[in-house]
Amino acid sequence: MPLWGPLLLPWVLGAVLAFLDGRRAWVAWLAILGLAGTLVCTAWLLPQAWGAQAPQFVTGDWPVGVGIRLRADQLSIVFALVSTAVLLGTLVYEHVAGGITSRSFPALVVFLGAGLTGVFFTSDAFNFYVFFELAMTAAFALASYGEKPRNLRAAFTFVVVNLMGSTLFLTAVVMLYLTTGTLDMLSIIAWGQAGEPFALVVPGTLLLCAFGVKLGFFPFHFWAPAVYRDAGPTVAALLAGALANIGSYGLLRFGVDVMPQVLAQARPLLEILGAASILYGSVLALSRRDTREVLAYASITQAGLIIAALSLDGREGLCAAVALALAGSVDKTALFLAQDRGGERARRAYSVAAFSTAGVPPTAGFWSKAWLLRAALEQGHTALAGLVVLASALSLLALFRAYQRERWLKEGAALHRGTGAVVYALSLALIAVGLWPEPLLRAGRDAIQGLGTLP
Amino acid sequence: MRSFVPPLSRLLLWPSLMIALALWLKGGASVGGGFPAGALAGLAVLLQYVVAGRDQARRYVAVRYAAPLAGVGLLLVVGTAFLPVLGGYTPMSLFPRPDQPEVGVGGLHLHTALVFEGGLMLIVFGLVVTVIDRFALRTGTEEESGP
Repeated sequence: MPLWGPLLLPWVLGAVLAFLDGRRAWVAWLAILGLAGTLVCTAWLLPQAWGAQAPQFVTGDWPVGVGIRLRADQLSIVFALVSTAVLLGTLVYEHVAGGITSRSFPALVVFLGAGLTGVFFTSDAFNFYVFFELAMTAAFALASYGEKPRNLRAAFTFVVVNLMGSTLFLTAVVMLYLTTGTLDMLSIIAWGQAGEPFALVVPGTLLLCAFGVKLGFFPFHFWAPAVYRDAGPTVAALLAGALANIGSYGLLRFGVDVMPQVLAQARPLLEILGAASILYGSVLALSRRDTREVLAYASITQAGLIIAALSLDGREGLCAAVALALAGSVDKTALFLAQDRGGERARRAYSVAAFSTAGVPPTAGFWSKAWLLRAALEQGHTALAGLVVLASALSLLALFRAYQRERWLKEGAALHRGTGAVVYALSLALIAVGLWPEPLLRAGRDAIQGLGTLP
Repeated sequence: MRSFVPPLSRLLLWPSLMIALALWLKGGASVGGGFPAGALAGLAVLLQYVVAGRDQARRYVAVRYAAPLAGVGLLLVVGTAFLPVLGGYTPMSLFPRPDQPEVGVGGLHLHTALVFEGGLMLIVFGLVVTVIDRFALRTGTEEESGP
C-alpha cells in the first residue's frame, strides 16, 4: 500500500459526500465504508512503518524543502489508526442510533478523518498547520451539530478558543521558519542538533500553548467543560476521542522529535502543569453533578497525566505518554457514547470505560497508568507517583458517583443492538488490551523508538 | 441626505474581484495564490451583504450557488492532487513537468498548479460566502434570543 492511499481515500470520499444528502441511509453507509477503507489502508502500512525505512514521499517529486515531505513512522501510524477507529465507531453509532439529522454530518466526519490522517502523516511544520486547520474547520461545523441553542453555544465557545490556539500555532510556525530557514521537520531536527539550543524556546513555548488548548490541560482547559456539556454526545465523543489526539500527537512530535532540547528545558514546567491538571481535574470532577462535566474534568486529568509523562526524563515516560493518549482516546469515546443512553448495556459499557479511565485492571487504562507510575518511581518522582494514584482513586469516585446519581441509567432510550454493538466493541477493546497489553506496550515503545533523536 | 457608502460598495465589487483573479493567476510566481484570492472575493461579497442586505447580494449567481462552488473547488483540488497518481507520478505532481516546454504568454504560465489554486480559491470563496449567508439568514429571520 503506498503512503498516499489513506490520504487519497478520505479526500475523494469527502469531496463526493459533500454533494450528497447525509441524512439518507446509503450516504451514511458510504461514509462508514470509506472510513473503514481508510482504516484498512492505514493498517496495511503497519509492516512498512515497522520496517527499516518509514514510508515517505515528497509531493510533486520536488527536492525536500520545496516539496512537502509526507512520512509515516510508527508514532504516526498508531495515532492514525486509533483516531480513525474512533471516528468510524462514532459515525456508526450516530447512524444506527436513530439517523443523522444533518445533511453534512457524514462528509464532515470524513473530512475530520482526512485532516487527522494528514496531521499524523505530514513531516512539514506548515503542512501540519494546514491539515490541522482542516480538521479544526470540520470540527467547528460539527460542534454545532444538533442546532439547538445549547449546541450552538458550545460551537461558539469552541470556535473562539480554538481560533486563538490556531493563531498561536501559526505564529510558532512562522518563527520556526524564520529561525531555522526550513519547515521540513527532519531538517529542523538537523538544524537543532547543530545549532543553538535556546533559539527555539519561544516557538516551543507557543506550540506548548497551542497544543495545550487542543488537548485541554490546565490552564488551557477552560473551554472543555462548557463544550463537552453542551455539544451533542457523539460530537463530544469526536472532539474528546479523536480531535484531542492532535494535541497529544503534536506535543510528542514537536516536543520529542523536532525540538528535544526545548522539551528538556521545559520539563520542570511540564511537571508543574501536569500536576496542576491532575489535581484540578480530579477535584473538580468530584464537585460536578452533570455527567458530561464530570467526563470533561476527567479528560483534563487525563491530559495532565500525558503532560506529566512528558516531563519525565528518558524514554519510559514518553512511551507511557503514547499509551496514555491512545488508551484515553478510546476511554473517552466509550464514556461519552455510553452515557448518552440508558439500560443494562449502557451501564456495563460505562463501567468498563470508567474502570479504564481510573486505571483499574484488567483494562487498557491500567497498563498505561502503571507504565507512568513505574517511570515516575524509577526517576525518583515519588510525589508525581502519589498524584497518579490519587488521581486514579478520585476519578473512580467521581465517575461512579455520576453512575449512581444519574437518571440516564434508568430512563432514556436503552442501547439497542446497533448502538450497543459500537459501545461494546469499544469497551471490549479496552478489556482485550487489558488482558493482552503487548500491542499497546509495543506501540508505545516502538513509537518513541522511531523518533530516534533522544539519548 | 443619501449616503455615499452603497454606491461606493457597488463600485468596489468588480475591481476587488479583478484583484482576486490577479492574485490567483500570479500566485505561482510571486505573492498571491488561491487562498488570498478566495478570501478577498469573499470579503467583497461580505461588503455587499453588510451595505445592501442579503437580497441585493444574492442577485449574483456566484453568491446564490456559493456552496456548490466550494464543492466544485474541492473536486478540482482533489483531482489535481491525486490524478497524477494514475499516471505513476507522486501526488501533487505539476504539469508540464519542469523539463518540458512551458505554455503561456508573458508573465502568465499555464500549469496544473493554477487549477489547484483555482480550486482552493473556489473553496475559500464558497465557504466564506456560505457562512456569511447563514449569518445573514439568521439575523434576518429570527429574533435574537439570549442563552
